[in-house]
Amino acid sequence: MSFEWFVALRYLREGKVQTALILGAVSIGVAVVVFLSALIGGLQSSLISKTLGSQAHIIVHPPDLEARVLTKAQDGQLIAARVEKPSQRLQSISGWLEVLSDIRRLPGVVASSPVVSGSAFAVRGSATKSVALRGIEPESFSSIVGLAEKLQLGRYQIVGAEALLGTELALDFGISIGDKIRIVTAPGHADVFTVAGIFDLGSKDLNERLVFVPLRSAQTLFDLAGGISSIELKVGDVFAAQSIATEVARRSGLVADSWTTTSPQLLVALQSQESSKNVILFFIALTVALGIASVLIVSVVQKSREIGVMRAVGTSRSRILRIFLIQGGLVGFVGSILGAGLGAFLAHAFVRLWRGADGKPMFPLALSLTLFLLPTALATLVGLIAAVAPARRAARLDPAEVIRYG
Amino acid sequence: MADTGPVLEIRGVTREFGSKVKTRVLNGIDLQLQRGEFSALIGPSGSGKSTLLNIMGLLDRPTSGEVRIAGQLMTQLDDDALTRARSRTLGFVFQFHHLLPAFTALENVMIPAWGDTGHADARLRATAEALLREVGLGERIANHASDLSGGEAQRVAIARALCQNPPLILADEPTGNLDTKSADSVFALLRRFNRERGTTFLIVTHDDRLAGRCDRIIRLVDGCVVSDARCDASSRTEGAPPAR
Repeated sequence: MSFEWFVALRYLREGKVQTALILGAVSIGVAVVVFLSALIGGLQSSLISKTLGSQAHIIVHPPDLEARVLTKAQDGQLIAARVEKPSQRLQSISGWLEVLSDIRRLPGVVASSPVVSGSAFAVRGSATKSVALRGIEPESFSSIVGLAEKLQLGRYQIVGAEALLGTELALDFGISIGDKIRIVTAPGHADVFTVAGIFDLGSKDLNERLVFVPLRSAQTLFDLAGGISSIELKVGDVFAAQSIATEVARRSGLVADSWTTTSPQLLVALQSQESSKNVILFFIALTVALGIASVLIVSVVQKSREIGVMRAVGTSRSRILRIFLIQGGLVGFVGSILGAGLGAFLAHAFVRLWRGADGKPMFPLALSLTLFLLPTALATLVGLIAAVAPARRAARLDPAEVIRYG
Repeated sequence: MADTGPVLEIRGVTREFGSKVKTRVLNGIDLQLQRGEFSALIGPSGSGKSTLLNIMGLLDRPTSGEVRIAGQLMTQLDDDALTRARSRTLGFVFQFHHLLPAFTALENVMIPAWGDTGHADARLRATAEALLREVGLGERIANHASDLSGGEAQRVAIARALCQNPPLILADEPTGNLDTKSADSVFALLRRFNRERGTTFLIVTHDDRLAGRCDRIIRLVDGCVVSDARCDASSRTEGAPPAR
């Protein structure tokens, strides 16, 4: 064993109480970090799953129709003082198969699905409801919105003249699986669909308004033979959605709206959670660093004569420096390992103790390997950094002075 | 290391302290210690003994003058080189043994070489064990320094000073903190290593009777060497224990 490691370990062993106290402090700090990160991470995942789980992360669609601005040919002067925005009609993405194929190759995009969506009326007997009709490919769309898991009744796979409705709409119409509804669209087309499934997306509004039919049926109803109105995407990292959307828009010339622009309040909520987590993390790291530094400084003061003797008999400044850096790093590393274990234990205990009426954990926890590795690496680094000042102080001690005066 | 020539040679060494008001503690010291000499450095408190010892021990730098150990000029070396030189060419025995209490006797003896190279091999361990046996502590090698008596601890400190087999050992009041019996035993041990190994010893002491048992007595007063006398065998007080 090298001299530095030997002396560092011996000093840590010798100062049992100090070592135990600082290990305890580091462990508790790391346990709190692991536990809070798991809790906040779990809450974030739950929030993301509940909100973004029922919508696409990016929706790619054609740009809005713009009125041509009339100008005089020679001097470019405007002819009309006011240019009205034309009313928007449903447009198809031209060459959408190529666009879709290109988007699917983009890094970060994990799923994509063509969609035809527009407004329609659902009619059942004398009752009429305004709905958002969406034509989908069930196979590819299941990767965007996990509709199959949200089905309360029936089946997800729809073909021909079959439709999926939300629970609220089904309740309003008083219909169930196998019943028929008539869908009427603005171009004047209408078709009768058999209810194949009834879903619950966790939002009354969505359950009241959304109707899913096969893509081909929607193309017919909206006069978009062979076309689609949008491409919906799911990305691996939800926080990278905006940059991916920008890239999609650049490559396709279409408009790509990410969830961060369509649901900015959700983004703010998630960022606030992340910020509060980081603030807590910072202060815990600071507390751990101050704890390690203060214990090591006390150790340097206590051992200054011994350090002086080591220096006098031939131990270099750099070795003395390393002895204390190793102590700081070791305390950080071992403390963080203990803390990670304690944090995991706390998290599991928390999940077991606090359960809702349905037996499911009230607070979701996101435990991952990164959650343990990151605080471990961070605490070791903090330990090393905290040890720099005491180690430099130890290395700078004048051997003649400390041997004589202590 | 040169076998011929002085083990330690200092020329014109001065040492001043203070920045605005300078206090000169050493005033142009010239001194040579030959191989195998067993010398005493004596003088009243404040005469500059400790300052001179620190300069000879490469723990301090002179304001002016030269220090050579085994022919090598030390005053030009940087801090790391001085540290290496301290480990390889010098041994220290302090008044208070200054062993590391958390370490065993064996580990304490190994520290100069271990701290120098960074690792301890079987050869170093064997050397340290042999030295501890030589100082009569073969049975105590695994004991922690804190478990040793004052005399035993000072013996371990002597073994530590000899571990790298340096040509020069500087001892600062090595018996000053021991009872008469232990002091006598420690002094005898130093003498034995001087004779058997030819190691040069310089012993700083307040004790004239202890100094009287050395081959040479260098007296320092007010930062100047006022006398440098060699003692012949008849004038030495070999048998008597050092006075307390």
